[in-house]
Amino acid sequence: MSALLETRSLSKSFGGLNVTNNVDLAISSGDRVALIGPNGAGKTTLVNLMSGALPVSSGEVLIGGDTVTHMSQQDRAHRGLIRTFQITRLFESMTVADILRVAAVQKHKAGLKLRWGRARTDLVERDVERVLADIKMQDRRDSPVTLLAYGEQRLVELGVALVMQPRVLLLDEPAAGVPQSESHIIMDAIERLPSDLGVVFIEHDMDLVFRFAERIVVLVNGGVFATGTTDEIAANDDVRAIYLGEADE
Amino acid sequence: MTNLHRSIGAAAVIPLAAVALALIFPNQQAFLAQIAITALVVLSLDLVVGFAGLATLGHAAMYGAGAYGAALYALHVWAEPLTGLIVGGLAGATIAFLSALMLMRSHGLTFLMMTVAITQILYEIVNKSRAVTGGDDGLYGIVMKPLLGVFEFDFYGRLAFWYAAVVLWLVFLLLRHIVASPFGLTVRAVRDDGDRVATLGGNIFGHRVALYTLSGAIAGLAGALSAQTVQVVGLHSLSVTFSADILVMLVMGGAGRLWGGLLGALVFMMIHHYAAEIDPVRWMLFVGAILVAIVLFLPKGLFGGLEALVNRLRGRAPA
Amino acid sequence: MFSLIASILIDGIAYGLVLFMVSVGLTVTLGLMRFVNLAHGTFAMIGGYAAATAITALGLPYGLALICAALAAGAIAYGLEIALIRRLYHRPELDQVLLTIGLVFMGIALSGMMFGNSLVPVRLPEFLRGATDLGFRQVPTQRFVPLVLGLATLIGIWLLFERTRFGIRLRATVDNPRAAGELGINTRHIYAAAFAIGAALAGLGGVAGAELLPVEPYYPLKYLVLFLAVVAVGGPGNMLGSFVAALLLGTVETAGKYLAPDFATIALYALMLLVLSWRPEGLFRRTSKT
Ligand SMILES: Nc1ncnc2c1ncn2[C@@H]1O[C@H](COP(=O)(O)OP(=O)(O)O)[C@@H](O)[C@H]1O
Ligand SMILES: [Mg+2]
Repeated sequence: MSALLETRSLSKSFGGLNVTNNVDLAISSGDRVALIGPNGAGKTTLVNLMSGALPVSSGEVLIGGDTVTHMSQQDRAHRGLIRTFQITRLFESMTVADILRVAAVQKHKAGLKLRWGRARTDLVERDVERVLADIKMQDRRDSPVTLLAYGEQRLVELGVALVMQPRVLLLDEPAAGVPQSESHIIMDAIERLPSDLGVVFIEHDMDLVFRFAERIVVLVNGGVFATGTTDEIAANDDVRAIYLGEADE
Repeated sequence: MTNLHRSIGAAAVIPLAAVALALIFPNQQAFLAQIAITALVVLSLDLVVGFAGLATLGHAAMYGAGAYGAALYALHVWAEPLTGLIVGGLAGATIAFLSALMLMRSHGLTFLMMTVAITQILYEIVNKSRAVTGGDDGLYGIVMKPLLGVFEFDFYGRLAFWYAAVVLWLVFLLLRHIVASPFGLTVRAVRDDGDRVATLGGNIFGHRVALYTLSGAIAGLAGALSAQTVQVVGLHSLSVTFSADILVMLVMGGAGRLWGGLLGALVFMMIHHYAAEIDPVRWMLFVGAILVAIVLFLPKGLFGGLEALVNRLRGRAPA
Repeated sequence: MFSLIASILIDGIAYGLVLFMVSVGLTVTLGLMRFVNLAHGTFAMIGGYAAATAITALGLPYGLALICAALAAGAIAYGLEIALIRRLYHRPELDQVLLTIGLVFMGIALSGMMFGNSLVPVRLPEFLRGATDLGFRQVPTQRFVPLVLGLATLIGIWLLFERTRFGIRLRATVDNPRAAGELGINTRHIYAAAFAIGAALAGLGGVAGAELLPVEPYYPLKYLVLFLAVVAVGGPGNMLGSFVAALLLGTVETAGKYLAPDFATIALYALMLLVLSWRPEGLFRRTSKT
């Protein structure tokens, strides 16, 4: 069976700067992959290339075995690829529930419908309620999102992705900016994700990485520096020197 | 207040206001009809500016298309008002749809410029097609058949006012419904962050084209109403100046809220009417100063200001 | 045939250079400072009125009148920047559009009240009147004013941006205001100065182009689209792009006037529409230097 998401010698440069170098990755159903690397290693850029937010310089992106390298973000989303943003991007005129509703409307392809109708309302509201419970924000449903603390906004950002029930989920530092006391809500929500989902997860907190991931990809200067199971990476001296060592200082 | 009460209350506002205005200004019904028609085109502009977040100086293209479409239809085909209204709406929608295919991938300054270019081209074409459109003389001598085959258009504009007010009312109710629909929700999301909607699989271009076409249809209705009730159509209805005027009204009332458009049109037209004695130069100074003041001190327009005031009086925190 | 093409080119280039002088400040405001200023034409009009007044009422020579025009436009722009414009840099585009339309209206009304509603001629000195014989055609001598001033503007702008501390600071400020601030650059001052310089050049353009775009109260509204078109087609923020776009649009409109006067305007707008739908970012997108 082909991988859910695959990249083949994917490269990207800005001007003369190579930000992504020949990256080969394959994410299969049920994978839990942590993408780690120092700041500026090109993690976000890789997510942008896979999701279609940026055009590639060379190489290929495949979803479920089909080449999507030149497809729009929109078409990739329809094929079950959803990503979140490192810096929260929410519809700032809206309440929490409306933001989740927007996502649910897109998921059910109802964006051009002029009527809600009983059946559609049920589908959308079920998704909204499910996610509000998942991110434990039922009591915030009617708050304008701009009035929430940043940590709460991060939860909504994750919630938007959860509404979509994707087949592959790319999470760009979902816990960044979330206070320690609330990061377990994010981790719990992620751990409850359906087991057949493929998840790529960028994170700097190594405790979270080791708790969550089965496989770790270490990105340095845009290239895959090392890849392996959590135990292999933990035992890899080069990685420790370059990355883990740095984090320990 | 429940949601039901609220919607019934909201639905009653336009009829009540219409009756009140008719009682207060019994001898100025033609002017009141103008207000209702202008409110309608401002409402349609709000869809583009307030709900899609696109500043345009080309809305007159659709209004003018509706006006010329309805006028030509009445002069050459059939002077029946309701089918003429539909013709006007279709003319506005057609122009909007065709230009949307060009416009809706751009935004900001580029969008603004392209709306101006389209309007100017249309203006020039109509200006040069003298044989059909009368050039800068415009089209006149439009005499409509009775409305619904029963009500004659009168010299005082009584029927004109009620006709325009009913169309305005129906469109307002329709838009309230649409704004709250899945489409309306998605349109606001596209305004806030279109790219983000694309990452969720939404079709930004499709939404914008649909919204612009809807807006054009309503502007076309307003143009048709104007042609049928004023019985004259001139180049002004296609001009960038007219586009700027209605933009000022919208901003004055408060963009992004349907009420804002209605209030802006009413207040602007009233002031204009009573300030008509002061010379046009001072009028421009006044409008300019109002715009600057609103941007600086009342960014949500009169309606937003009123709302904040009411909330404060009720002791609520501003939203 | 040859003389027709030559005429179109001479008039088109002179016209294009006027457009360039007026628009180059706008491309800086729009593209670099990210402020949508629909009132930019007002500064050209102010320049025109200032020069006309300096010549007729004060009896100053043409050269001094040009300086007056630049100073008046620059000073008024500087005041506006400090009092109003700088509050709007971080506000949505729509607010900027509205505020500056408001300023346009006020500018029209005020100049109508001060100078009347008819055209105000900028009287030329003796040596610029009459015609110059180019061998194949007589050219009005005053066509050379935009030619000389326009090219001087191009060179001056280039020197200012590439060769002076001000240019370096402005580029640093627009690229990264925070970092520039931390380096001790007074970014507010830089913005105000850039805005005023752009307006001063527009003021010059207003005088140099007084024959082609006559000075009157509705000037800022009438030619607004033209100036914006230059910026949009050239790519906002790209001064060389504006130069090329100004020459292109100027020549196209002039050719239209010679060949098919009825359709000159349509041709101009159609060209703009085509360019913008083909390349929404303009012909020459501003590329950050790395
Ligand atoms: N749009 C862009 N233009 C130019 N350089 C960019 C752009 N986006 C990212 N970069 C550069 O690419 C490198 C990688 O950035 P990023 O992918 O955000 O890293 P990470 O997410 O690993 O911290 C950085 O040096 C950054 O400055
Ligand atoms: Mg990153």
